Amino acid sequence: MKKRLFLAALSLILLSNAVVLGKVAFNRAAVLNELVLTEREMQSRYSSVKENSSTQLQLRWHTPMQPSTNYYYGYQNILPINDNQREMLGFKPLNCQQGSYRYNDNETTAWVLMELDGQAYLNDLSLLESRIKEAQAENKNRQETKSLEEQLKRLREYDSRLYAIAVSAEPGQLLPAIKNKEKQFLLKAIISDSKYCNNEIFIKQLSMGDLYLPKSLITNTTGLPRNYFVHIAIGNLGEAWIENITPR
Amino acid sequence: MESTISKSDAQRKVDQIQAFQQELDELQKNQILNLSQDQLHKIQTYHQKITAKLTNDFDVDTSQGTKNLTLGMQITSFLGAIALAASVFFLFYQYWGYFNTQVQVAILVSAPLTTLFATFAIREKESTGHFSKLMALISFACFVLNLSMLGQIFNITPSDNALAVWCAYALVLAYALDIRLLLAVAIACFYAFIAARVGEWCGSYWLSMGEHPETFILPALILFIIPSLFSHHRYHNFESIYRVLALCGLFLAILIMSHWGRSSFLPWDSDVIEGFYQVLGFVLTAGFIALGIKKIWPAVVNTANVFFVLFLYTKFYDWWWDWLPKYLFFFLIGISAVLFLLIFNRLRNQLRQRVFKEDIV
Repeated sequence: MKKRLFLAALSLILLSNAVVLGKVAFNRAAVLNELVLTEREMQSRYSSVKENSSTQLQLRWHTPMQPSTNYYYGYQNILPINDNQREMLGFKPLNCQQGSYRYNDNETTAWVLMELDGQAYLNDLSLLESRIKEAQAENKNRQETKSLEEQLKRLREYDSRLYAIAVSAEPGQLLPAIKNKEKQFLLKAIISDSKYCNNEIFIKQLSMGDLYLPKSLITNTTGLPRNYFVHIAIGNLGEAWIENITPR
Repeated sequence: MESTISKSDAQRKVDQIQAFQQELDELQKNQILNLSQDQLHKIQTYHQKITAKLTNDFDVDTSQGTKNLTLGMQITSFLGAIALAASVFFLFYQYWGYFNTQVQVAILVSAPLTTLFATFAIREKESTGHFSKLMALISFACFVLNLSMLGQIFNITPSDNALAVWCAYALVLAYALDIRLLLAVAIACFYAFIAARVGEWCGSYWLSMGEHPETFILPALILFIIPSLFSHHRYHNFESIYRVLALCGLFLAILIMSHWGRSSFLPWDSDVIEGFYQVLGFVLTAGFIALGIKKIWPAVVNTANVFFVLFLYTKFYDWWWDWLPKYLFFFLIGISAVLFLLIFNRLRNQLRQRVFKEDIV
C-alpha cells in the first residue's frame, strides 16, 4: 500500500510538471502577435518580499477618460457599453435609477481591444488641454489649474499610453476594429457589471498582468535601464512572454 | 503484511494494560481479589509480550513521562516543519533571479522529487515517524513552490487546477504516513477547488470564490460523509479531522450568509435569505449535536456546540447590543453561559451512558 502511494505521489509530481511544461512549449511554439511597449506601459514591479531577487514587469493601462468624470491618474478601468453589448456580455438589463449604487457581483470573461499610443490617448490629451483652458478662462483657483496641468504632464511624459478601448464577448467581433496590428491587440479579461447602475463595465483583470523578466535579458550590469523598449510575444494559448528588452 | 490496527488502537491497548495492572494492585492490596503467584506470573508475562510487540511495531508510550515527551516532539516537529517550509520558500525567492530559466526549472522539479524520496527513505529507517512527517511537509511545500513558481516564470494564467493537484499530493502523503496536518491541508485545498469550480459555473471568476460562501456548503457535506463511506480505522484520528473541518466549513458559510444575504445565489430578498440561514444554523447545529451523541462522535458534538453558541451570541448582539446597557448585556451573556453549562453537563452524561452501554454490550 505504501509503495503504491509512493508511486502515486511520484506520478503526480512528474505528470503535473509535464503538463505545465508541455503547455508552455505549445504556447511558445508559435508567435501569434508581437508588441513593443516602453517603460511607461511595462513598469518594474515592487515585490512585497524584499529578498525577491527576480524582476517582474507590470502592465499599466487604463480606459479613456469620460467627459463627465474628474478622476484621472492613469488607472481608470471603466468602459461604457450599450444595451446590445450588455446583452451579449450576459449582464442583466438596467432596471434601476441611473447612477444609484447597487450591489452586484456579476462577472464574466470577455475580450478587450487594447490600443497603444492611438486615438484614445490623443483624445485624453485633448480633453485635459481643454479643461485647463476652461479653468483658466473661468478664473478657477490656482490649485485646480495646477492639478490639471500636472495630470497633463504625467500623461505626456510618464503614464501609460496603453488603453482598453472596446469589449466584446467574442474576439471575432473586435477583429474588424484592428487597423494597426503593431499598436492594437486583443486580450482576454475578467469584467464585471458596474456597481452604479450605469451602462458600463469594470475591467477587473487582464490576462496579461505581470510578466517575468529573465535575468539573461538584462544586459546592463546596473539593472534595468531608465528608459527601455520591451518586446513581448503572444503565443498559441494567448499567453505572453518577454522576448527582449532594449534601452531607448 | 500491513497491520490491521492503528497506532491509536495500540496506544489504547497499552493504556488498558497499565490501568488493569494498577487496578489489580489496588484490589490485591484491599484483599478484594487474591490471585496465585502462578496466575500473576502468567498475566504479567502475557502483558509484557503484548506491550513489547506494540512498542516495537507502533512506538507507543508506556508511561505518562514518555507521553509528555511525545507531545513535545509532535509540537516541535510541527513548528519545525512550518519553519523549514517557509525557509524553502524564502531561499528560492532570494536566489531564483540569479539563475537562468533551465536551472530554475531543474531546481523546482527536483525539489519535490528529492524530498519525496527522502521522506520514504527516512520512514523506512525510523520508528517514531516524526522525521519522516517533517520531511513530508517540506516535500509538500516544495511541490506548491514548484507549480506556483513555474506559473510565475512562464507567465501562465492562474488556474484552480493547481488546487486539485496540491490536494491530491497532500492526501497521498497524509495516507502514506498517517499525517493529520497534511490531511487538513488537503481538505483546505479541496474546499478551495470545489468552491472555485462551483463559483465558475455560476459566472464568477475563480479567484473570487470567497465572495460566495455558499460554494463551501457542498464540499463540507461531501467531507462529512467520507469517513462514513470509507473506514479509517488504521489512521490516527482521520475521521475526526474530516468531520470537524466539514462542520467548520459548513457552519462558517452559514454564519456569514446569515449576515450577508446579498452574496447568495438564492433569488430572494437579502433579509429573507439572512433569516433563512439564521434558522438553518440553529437547526443544523442542534441536529449535529444530536447526531454526535447518537453516534458517539465527541468531536462533532463539541464543534456543533461551539457554533450553536456562536450563532446564539451573534443573535444576542443583533437584538440587544444597541438598546441594553452594556453591563446588562454581558450579564445576560454570562447567565446564558451558565445555562449552557447545565445543558452540556446533561449531554455529557448522556454520552457517557451511551459509551458505558456500548462497552457492556
